[in-house]
Amino acid sequence: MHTLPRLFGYALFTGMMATGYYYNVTFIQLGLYDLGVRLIGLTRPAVAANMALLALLTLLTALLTGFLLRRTGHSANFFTKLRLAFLVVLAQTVLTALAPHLRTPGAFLAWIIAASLALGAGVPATFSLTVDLIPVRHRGYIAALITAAAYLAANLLPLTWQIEVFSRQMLFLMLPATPVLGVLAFVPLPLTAALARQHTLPGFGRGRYVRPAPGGGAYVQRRLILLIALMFGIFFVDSLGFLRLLETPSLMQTAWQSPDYTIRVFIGLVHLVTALIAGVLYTALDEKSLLLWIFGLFALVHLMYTLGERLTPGSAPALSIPMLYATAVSLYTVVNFAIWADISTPADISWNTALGVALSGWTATFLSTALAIRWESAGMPLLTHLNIVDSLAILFFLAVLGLSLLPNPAARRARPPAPTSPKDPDP
Amino acid sequence: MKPLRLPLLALCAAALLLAACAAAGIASEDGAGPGRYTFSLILDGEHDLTPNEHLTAALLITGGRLRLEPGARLTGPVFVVSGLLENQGEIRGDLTLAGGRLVLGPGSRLEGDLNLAGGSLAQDPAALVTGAVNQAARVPPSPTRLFETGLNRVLSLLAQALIVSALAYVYMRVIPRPVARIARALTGHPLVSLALGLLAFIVALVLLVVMIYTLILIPVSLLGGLLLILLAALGWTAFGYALGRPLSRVLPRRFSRRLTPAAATALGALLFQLLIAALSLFRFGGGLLALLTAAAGLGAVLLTRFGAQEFTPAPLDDYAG
Repeated sequence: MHTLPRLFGYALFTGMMATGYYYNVTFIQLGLYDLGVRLIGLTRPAVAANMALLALLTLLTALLTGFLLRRTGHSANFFTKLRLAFLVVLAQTVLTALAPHLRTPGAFLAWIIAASLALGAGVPATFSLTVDLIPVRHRGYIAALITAAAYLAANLLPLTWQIEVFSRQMLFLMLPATPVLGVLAFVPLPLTAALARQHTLPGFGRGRYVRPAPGGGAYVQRRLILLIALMFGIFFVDSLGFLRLLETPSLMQTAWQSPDYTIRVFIGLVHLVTALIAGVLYTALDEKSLLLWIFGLFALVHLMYTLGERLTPGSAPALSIPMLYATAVSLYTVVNFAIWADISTPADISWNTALGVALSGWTATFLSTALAIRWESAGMPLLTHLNIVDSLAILFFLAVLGLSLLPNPAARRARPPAPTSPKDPDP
Repeated sequence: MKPLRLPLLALCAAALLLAACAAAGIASEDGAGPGRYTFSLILDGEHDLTPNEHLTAALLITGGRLRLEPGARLTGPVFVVSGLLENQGEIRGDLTLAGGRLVLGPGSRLEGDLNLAGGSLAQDPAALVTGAVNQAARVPPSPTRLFETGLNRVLSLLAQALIVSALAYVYMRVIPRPVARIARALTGHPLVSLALGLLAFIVALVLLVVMIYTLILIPVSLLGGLLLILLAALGWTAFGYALGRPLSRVLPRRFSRRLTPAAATALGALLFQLLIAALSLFRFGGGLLALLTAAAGLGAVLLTRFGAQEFTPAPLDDYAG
């Protein structure tokens, strides 16, 4: 009896989040840069400034929205969140259609402001639907599906990174999806009524890392702050490095912009497989282990890029490097989609996701994008840029390693004792 | 039977390493005999071998350009990882292209195999290659797959199975409790073991190759590769343990009574390897199964911290409030 609504919830959440993330990594991160430089004729520092403004306004809007949802009690209201998500999608559909037609810096700035407001409201609204639609034990796997779908699509499509192409692709998805979302949000249906009750069921509402008091409130707060700092680091390191790689043809032509389509298929498949791996590991391991893997991988990847630049500057790197890069990205994306709900309850998830996703994800990504563009415009050599990125990744890796070695009394109390080893064989 | 001592195992590993290093070199042509090896490395710059110039060395090109003019001769295995090799002369020995560019001109002569594992090749129709031309998928991954005939293939698979079985026996004699823990992680959490093992394989293989680029770390890379093989074998031992215990219960009592845990594990490992071998021979995905089981075994080894502790997955249930 519960199976159909639950499966529908999985499909709805996966579709929304995968589309949203694909929109973010293609249209926003790559398309706006193309729009600003190629169509409007802005300088790279000017585009960087606009991206920084986008990040700041999105952050402020997300925090305000998350705060209001929590304060008014609507953080636990499925229909409020779904209706807000519908309004965001509607606004973004209009903005997506308008974007390729912008031709002046003023219009670009107005577009940035409008998009920031929509995206900022969308972050807490959509992420907080996790507690309504996905049970705790499946969050890792659903996060894996979202990541796999978004990155597979991002690598296979489009073939050219231009705003017109991105816009057409997104409208192809958004135009039919928007009215469907509107029906679900505003028309009373037994299906959505069942979904609205799910956050009260065991296994849905309370995240796996939510600990009761005493000291539980402080523990969650410390964990939240730590997670935000570490996820900020991940997004910052990734974007800071990738934006510079993006501007280096010898590195792009053999990977993400390769004219050989099989290479792009290969990278897409790596994303798919490693996202599924990450989903399994997220469910079974603690988050510190995963964060160690993520930072360790980033450190290794950028070390390989710098090594290549030192030994054979300007030459194409082996395909193993973008393969490792894709692995690290898949790992952290899966963690990002699942972790915020797992440290929350229905009452505070909108605030936690606003803080977590907006502060660590959006802000870090777009700040580092702006910084990368600035450095490149100032003439910083590729090797120096990558050295800095590598150093940051290593520092974060060491920080997580240190944290993982520190004793964690709360986790030790909560974890059940390890089983004794029955029937150990005689030597 | 006395258990094997760790120093003996270390000695075997050292001998293997020395053999690998020796195989990478080449005896000097001036008749000094085996035991003297030369190795040449090109990192940068443009270098020419002029007519009538002879170079005898194992050659690794990681950058720059080397051109052999007509009449020049190079004797030794050649590895091109990056950079450019232009041959208008004669190369005696196998040539492996893993990256960079290889140009075989009209006067080019290669007396050896041409192994293509990456990079780009420009070959003039008049260029001569006397040995085999191997694409990446056919480059033999292990010495036991050098032969192409059916019988040799069967024998090599059987040899592999026996080696793994022998290793399983040794592991079970030396570290029985860790093997048991690894087997419990493998059978209790196969998906988690496989996921972690695949991730570790991807990273380890890339890391080992990167270490080769540094040149200084080539010995570390070789040791790392050996360690990876031994850990994968430990994982396969866990499969043998999981198979061997129930197997010893179904055997007739007069046999099972004499079957020690180590022997049961070795028997289980042998049967498991023979199953993989049979699937390989009939092309039913035996190679893929071998890779997946090696990955799962490696994952179980890592989950249990090399068998030192039981693996307990992170809890997902709500906590009592």
